[in-house]
Amino acid sequence: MRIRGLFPAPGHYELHLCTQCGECAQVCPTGAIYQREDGAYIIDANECTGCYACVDACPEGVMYTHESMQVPIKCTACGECVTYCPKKLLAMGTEGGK
Amino acid sequence: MDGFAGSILRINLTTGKASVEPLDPKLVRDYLGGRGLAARILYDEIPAGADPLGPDNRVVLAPGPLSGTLVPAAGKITFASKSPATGGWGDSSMGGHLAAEIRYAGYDVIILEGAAAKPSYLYIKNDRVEIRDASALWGKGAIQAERALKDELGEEFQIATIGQAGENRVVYACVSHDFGRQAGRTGIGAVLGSKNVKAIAIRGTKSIPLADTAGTVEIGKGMYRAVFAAPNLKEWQNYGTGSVPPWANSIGAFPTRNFQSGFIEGNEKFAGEVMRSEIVINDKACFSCPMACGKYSRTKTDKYDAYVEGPEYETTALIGGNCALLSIKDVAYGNYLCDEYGLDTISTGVVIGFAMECFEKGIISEKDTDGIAAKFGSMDAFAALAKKIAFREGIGDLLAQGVRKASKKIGQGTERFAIQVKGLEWSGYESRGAPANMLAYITSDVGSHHNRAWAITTDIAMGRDLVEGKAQKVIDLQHIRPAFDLLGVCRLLWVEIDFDKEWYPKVLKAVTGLQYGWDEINLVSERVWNLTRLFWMKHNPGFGRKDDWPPARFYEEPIPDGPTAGRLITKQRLNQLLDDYYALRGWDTQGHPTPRKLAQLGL
Repeated sequence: MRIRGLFPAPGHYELHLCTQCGECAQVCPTGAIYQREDGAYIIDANECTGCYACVDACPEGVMYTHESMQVPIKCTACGECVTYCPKKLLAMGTEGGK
Repeated sequence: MDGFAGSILRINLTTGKASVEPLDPKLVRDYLGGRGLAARILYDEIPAGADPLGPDNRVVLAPGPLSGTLVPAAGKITFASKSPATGGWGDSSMGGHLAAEIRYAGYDVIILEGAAAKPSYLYIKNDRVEIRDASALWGKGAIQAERALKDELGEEFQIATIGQAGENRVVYACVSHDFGRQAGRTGIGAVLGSKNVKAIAIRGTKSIPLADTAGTVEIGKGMYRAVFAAPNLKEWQNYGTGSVPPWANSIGAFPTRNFQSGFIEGNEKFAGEVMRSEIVINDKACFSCPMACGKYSRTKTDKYDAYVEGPEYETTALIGGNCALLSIKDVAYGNYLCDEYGLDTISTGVVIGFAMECFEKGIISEKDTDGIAAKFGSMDAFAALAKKIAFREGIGDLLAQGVRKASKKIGQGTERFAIQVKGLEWSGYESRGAPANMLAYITSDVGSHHNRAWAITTDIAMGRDLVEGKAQKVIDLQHIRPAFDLLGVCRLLWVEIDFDKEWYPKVLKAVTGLQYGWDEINLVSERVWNLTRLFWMKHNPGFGRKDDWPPARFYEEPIPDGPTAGRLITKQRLNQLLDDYYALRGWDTQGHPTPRKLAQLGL
């Protein structure tokens, strides 16, 4: 998830969420990103070489890197954000939806 | 040392040298963090009698041990300095995302000392610290400067700025952050201006070391679930402090026309529902906060069109009530002007309300104001005076020094309605019908302000006329409310949605390993309260009882109308409140901590 505040004008937030679209899996040169049964795309850390092609390819810009880790950070559809969103704006969607 | 990076970043602006010093674990045990660490560092380091706007003064930025962790509303930071408004202890708490970012950059405290030779901003990315040229930013408003730096450095940077008021050393200039959050009080924006620091930009990618990671996550999540279960969460999310003005008016505590009254006709125009429907476009949260009580607004009429975070209650009280601008749109526009200039809305509302009363009484005229008809209720007058203050033009130069100094210079008995204590303008509760709140404000350690003890609900619960028994309640509040500023979390969960405060010792232990119950936390808070008292005494020979005293209006002029009509608190009753208070605090009759009390607190 990436939340960008558009301030001072127009004064709202732009939300980017992983839609499990699979672009990351398509560009992965080692096939380290696979689709789980529930539709979520998961990174196999053992296969990842840290090339970050997926990070560049992500259309929503929601794959993250951190200097302490070789493997990128990706949404695993765990649902915690839905549980803890105080405004109850989030819901688990179907494949390709938000 | 779990829960802390163990690092103090010190930046000497005169030499341009940045250094990292270890954080002493004993300091943490005695002062926890935030306001506590700031008080200890500044008491020790600022030489007695230092000019608040000179290089010997320092600015401390201090998050707390919980800031930036998985705890609800853990985004609070304390800015502290010797105040140019009062000459005494100054600190102000701010929300937003800066506290967390400082922690992620690997620092527990940042100390700024000396003064840069030219306009500068601080660039901090983890271990990389640079003092950069800010000549292109100098002269910009606080919000515009933040936008410009975000555009240059990236959205990930968290940025604090000052506006023109800070550059021009208006003694109530604020520090601004996150497009509408401020360290508003005690003039720390002016201190940054005097050091030629326009902004602080920080980005961190490190982790906070936790004593018990699994425990922190479990307790943190439990805290969120407890917030969601609060029955009044929805109301608070919808209106935030915007729901307070009608209530304050209904109890005769709404500052009106420079505190001439505690009640204003037409207050319903400030109601949360009206604000929400007329100007609010979005809710805005600080770091990790499930309440999102910040309201982001667009205020638009034929005369103006502006975006602003707010107005919060205090702004509505001091601009809407105190200057009698009876429109939420006008209040929001006044709020916008103050935010962009980098002026504290509370002090600005009191200062302009004071000027308006002087104008009403014929003490100043259009000759003094360069033609501004400084009448209560005039948006044009408010806007013109705010600009003059920020740029110190004409009468603005006088008003930029605060009401205490302005009234002394104007004379003619205006001191009686210069609404301040210790040089800090009074925040938004008229207290002639509220002895506990009166005592809380006159003894507050930064000058008259609500964020130490806000005691008006104590007055309502115990009786509006009662003096006996109030001092102990005020003392208890003066410890517990600022305790949240030791921890680096927002107190409003506890204040507004009845959040169980017993969560905090649990999560503090998981984060830091420290076994502190509320008794121990409040003891730290009492230690800090006594230390800030010593700070005042160190810097102001003769400081004492006479400084814990309100303007004469509050003990000689009864409130003329509204629910508290006829009320005042006589000198005799004020003295009774102070006698009780000093005795219970273990202070002598002059308000000086006794050696016994200091020894008991390890000071």
